[in-house]
Amino acid sequence: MKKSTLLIVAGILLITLLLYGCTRKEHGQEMKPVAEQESAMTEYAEEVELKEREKRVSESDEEYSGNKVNGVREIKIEARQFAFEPVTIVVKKGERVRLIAKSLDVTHGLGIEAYNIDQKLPPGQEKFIEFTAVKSGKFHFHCSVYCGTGHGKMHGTLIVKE
Amino acid sequence: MNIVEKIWKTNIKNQLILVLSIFAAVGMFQLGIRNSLPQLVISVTTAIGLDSLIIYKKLKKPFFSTSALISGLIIALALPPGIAWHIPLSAASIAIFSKHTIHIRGRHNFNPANFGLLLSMFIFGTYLAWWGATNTWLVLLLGTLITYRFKRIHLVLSFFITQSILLGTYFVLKGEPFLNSILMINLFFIFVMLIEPKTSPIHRKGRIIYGVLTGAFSSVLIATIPTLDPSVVALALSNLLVPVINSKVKE
Repeated sequence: MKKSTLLIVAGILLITLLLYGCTRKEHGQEMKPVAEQESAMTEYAEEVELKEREKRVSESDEEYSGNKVNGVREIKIEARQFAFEPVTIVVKKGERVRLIAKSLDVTHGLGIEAYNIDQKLPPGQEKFIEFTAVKSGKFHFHCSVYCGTGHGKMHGTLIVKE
Repeated sequence: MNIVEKIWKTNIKNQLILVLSIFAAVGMFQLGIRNSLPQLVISVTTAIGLDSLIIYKKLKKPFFSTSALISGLIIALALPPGIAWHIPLSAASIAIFSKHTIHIRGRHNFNPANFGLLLSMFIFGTYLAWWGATNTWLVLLLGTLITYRFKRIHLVLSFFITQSILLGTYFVLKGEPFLNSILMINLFFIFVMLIEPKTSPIHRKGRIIYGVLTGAFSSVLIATIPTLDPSVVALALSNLLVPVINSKVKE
């Protein structure tokens, strides 16, 4: 193989590696459920706090998926051979979204390229994936771990509305 | 001669290109053109451009590489739609580069598309969506036809039987149904990538052994490292053993 050709190909590889350094994928963050806050309050203050909390929990908008919990849209998503449930997720642009993902059978994965998310889902374990829906539009999510013959058709749609 | 007869009699690589194009069209219909077309364009043009450039440097005349077109299509159909542009570009570049540089006894050793995908997985941490197989039945039908045309049914069968038995046994020991092993077969991989003639053994007996080895590697990987794509790793390992198989196993 000639030197010039080798240099061209090596150049392309080098540029790509440099670009990789600038655009490294961040994996979805695992999140713990919202922690309860402890505070030293008087009996009266505790009663007020309890009433306020009951107001905030479980607000649901029919237009969007899941429920809003303390300002975060929580959506449960299940993966099994070979489909996600729900297959379509609708959120509002600018919302903080928490996906509670779980595999019902083999190891799956939840990959959303548009949001640089790639979360492995071992069977039976809940994984929490949080992100802010900054980009509006229709995006696809796919199973990111080879799970069998139907792996190629295991996808869904994330719709971020304005 | 009607159109079916014309297609049947055409060059075998052109038939594979036709099959891959059908898979791509079906996939794009399901996933949306905006998500999937860019990586197809990038992967295919990079592969063809680079391969043609390298061959032009060697032969001093223009050359359109159908092999590169096939590699570009496979890479695009395996990577997840909507992926960043530099990944299909890199995978296609690595594929073509490996085809022209990694040679043993005058033959390129690694399936180019597979090598490009494998290195992309490790360099970029990308996963493989295999969206070329969005319609399982279509892949089964057209895949079987193309495998028959390539005269590689024995290779696919040896892989299929090996993986089914090994993985099935593993599942039974885990308390799961034996037939779950059938659900783990990657049809796109076996009908399109495994059968690649230039990087699989020369002789029929050798190809059967190659199919058995790839099936065995794939089964072990599925059982032990479920988060790693088993197909591309298994094929790369088998590709390494092809020179040995070719020297030891004759017709």
